[in-house]
Amino acid sequence: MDIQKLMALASRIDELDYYQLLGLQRNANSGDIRVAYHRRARTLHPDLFFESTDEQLKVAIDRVYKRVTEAYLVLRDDDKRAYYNEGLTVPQKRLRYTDEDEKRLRENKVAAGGTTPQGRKLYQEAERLYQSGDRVKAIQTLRMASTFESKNVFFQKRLREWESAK
Amino acid sequence: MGKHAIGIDLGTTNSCVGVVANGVPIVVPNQWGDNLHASVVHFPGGDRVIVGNEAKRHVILDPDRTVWSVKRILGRKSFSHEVKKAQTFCAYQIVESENHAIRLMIDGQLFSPEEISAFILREMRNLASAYVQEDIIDAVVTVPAYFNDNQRQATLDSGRIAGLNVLRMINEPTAAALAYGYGRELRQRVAIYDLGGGTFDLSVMEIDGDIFEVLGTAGDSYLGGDDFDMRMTEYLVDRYLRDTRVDLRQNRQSLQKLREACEEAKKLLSVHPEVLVSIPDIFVDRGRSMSLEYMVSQKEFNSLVTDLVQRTFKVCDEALGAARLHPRDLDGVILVGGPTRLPLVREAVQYYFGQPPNVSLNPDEVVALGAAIHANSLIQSGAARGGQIGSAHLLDVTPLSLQIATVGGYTEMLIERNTPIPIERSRIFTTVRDGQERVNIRVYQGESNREEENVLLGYFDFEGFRIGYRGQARIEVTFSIDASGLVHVTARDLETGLRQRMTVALSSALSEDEVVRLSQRGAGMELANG
Repeated sequence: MDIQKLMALASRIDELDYYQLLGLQRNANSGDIRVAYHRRARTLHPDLFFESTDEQLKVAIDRVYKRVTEAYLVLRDDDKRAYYNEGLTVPQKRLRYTDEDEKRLRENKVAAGGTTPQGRKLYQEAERLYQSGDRVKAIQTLRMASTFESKNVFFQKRLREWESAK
Repeated sequence: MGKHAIGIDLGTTNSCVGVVANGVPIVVPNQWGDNLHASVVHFPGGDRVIVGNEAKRHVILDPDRTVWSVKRILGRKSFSHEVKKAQTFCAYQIVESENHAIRLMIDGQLFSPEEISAFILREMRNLASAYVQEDIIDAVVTVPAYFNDNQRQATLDSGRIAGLNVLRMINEPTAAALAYGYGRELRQRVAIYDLGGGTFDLSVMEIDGDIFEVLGTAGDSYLGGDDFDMRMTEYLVDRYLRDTRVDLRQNRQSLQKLREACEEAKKLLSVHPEVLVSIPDIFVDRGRSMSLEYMVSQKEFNSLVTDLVQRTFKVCDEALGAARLHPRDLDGVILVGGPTRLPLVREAVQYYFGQPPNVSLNPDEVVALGAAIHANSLIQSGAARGGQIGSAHLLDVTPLSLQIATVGGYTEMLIERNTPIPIERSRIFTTVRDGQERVNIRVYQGESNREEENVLLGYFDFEGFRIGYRGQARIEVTFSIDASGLVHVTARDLETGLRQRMTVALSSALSEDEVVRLSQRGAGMELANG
């Protein structure tokens, strides 16, 4: 990649989502993601400019390449990727997966399955009902589970999913 | 920038230096034709220093002034297990200095472990400089993949003291993979099984032509060939005690003699079914010289170290787990490090991975060769336009999770281990009390969520933001890990956008002045040939 193109890429890096940065379709599989990461490394790795004396260029390439690794880190992990994808669909698009997102994802993982004995029991019952096709009862049961864990975002998310399912 | 740059494998027991000369990566021998140089530094008195195989002879004769295996304590604090252990069998004193750093007391002079390592690096630099007839200063230095930030920083400082311009530090298994796959247009998934003198690393890598990507790495920085020698030594000490009622543990020199004999015997056991360990004058008892003579069979030796070998496979499980792969998914296994010559190790590796390991590479030299190849491609990058040259790209990961202290002795993960590098992650910190002037952050590396079970990298203090009610100040702290695996911390006041003043304490990095001072002291000492 020539230097002008690189500087241009660096200047608009905050406007790109990870798929755009890596040159990927939204439905890319894990193999595609790795290939894309390697392709970017071949053209954007800071080592290519190791001996350059252009400090501005070096700062720019460093910024771009760190974003490439960040994109790879997020997209190669199914959980992080799913959470990131959600952020792309909301009106206030979240183009980067931040430390806050990671925290929330972890809380969700902890919350998944319930954090209190009653919540856990009711949640399992709700899942069973939903799998057997009884959507209405499943929703009722999960609402009950939510009364024990009012702050459990995982329960709330699951509820929204079920309520919007047809 | 010179024409040549070197790659140095700074090992626990041996070091090795490589250079790309006339387009061919080679290992540089010393004047006696040795490619491997003992990582031993001897101070014969005056302002002289002897490094390498010549210095090794003095380990027994002059233990007070001869330093070996300094890598085991490099970048470690005085309270660490490794330092305590070293204190029990080193003839010289290991003393505590400020910030829990350590110093070695030799002939009334204090040396930091960084300075000792610097003597070895300087020797490697001199060997290569003489070989290509150019004063080389650019170098890539390798470190165990599992080295933490303190150990990496100490290695970098060693290089600076040695007068080197350290272009990059790369992980030993990654360097080995580069030497294995460079210019061969491979498409392979391989495991690098790197059992060195003092450390064990396993890296799972994908080689995609010119790309060398680490998919997962794990290690044990308390496991290496030295431990094998130690096992045999202890075994023979016990046997000797039973047979003669003489406890060799009471005499450092005897113990040292036996340890060295065991190291030799171990090497011979790679090719012979049994070996005689014979030391004619191991102990002098009331003027009477006593000898030690024992036959040790391969079978006996194997039973002494089987558990150590098994420990490596726990590490393999971990690295493969991180890469989400099974042993059978691999196209090859590459052995690195002298101890991988042992038949026991080779057989166990073959059993675990379900295929015979690749033995086409010299396990002692492959790391230095890889480092030389990388050093060369870094200094060549200026000559070519980006992306146009046939350089290889090393896409490595961080071996340890980066954590910060929260409250009550707990830590919170910020960058998980096996995250690709270079990377940066930011977190917003705020004040917790009204009128608070300073925000303090403690940074750790490790996998526990308890402060004391992780390794402390440093304290960071931020100040100079507007003082107000609690929660008002918002400081964005950015943690980045560079391509050498070094951790950097910067902070920005989100209100003003200004970079924050920051003080770092307890970090292992030496100050610029300190490096200059030590470098001058080192340069003032005459490096005798070793």
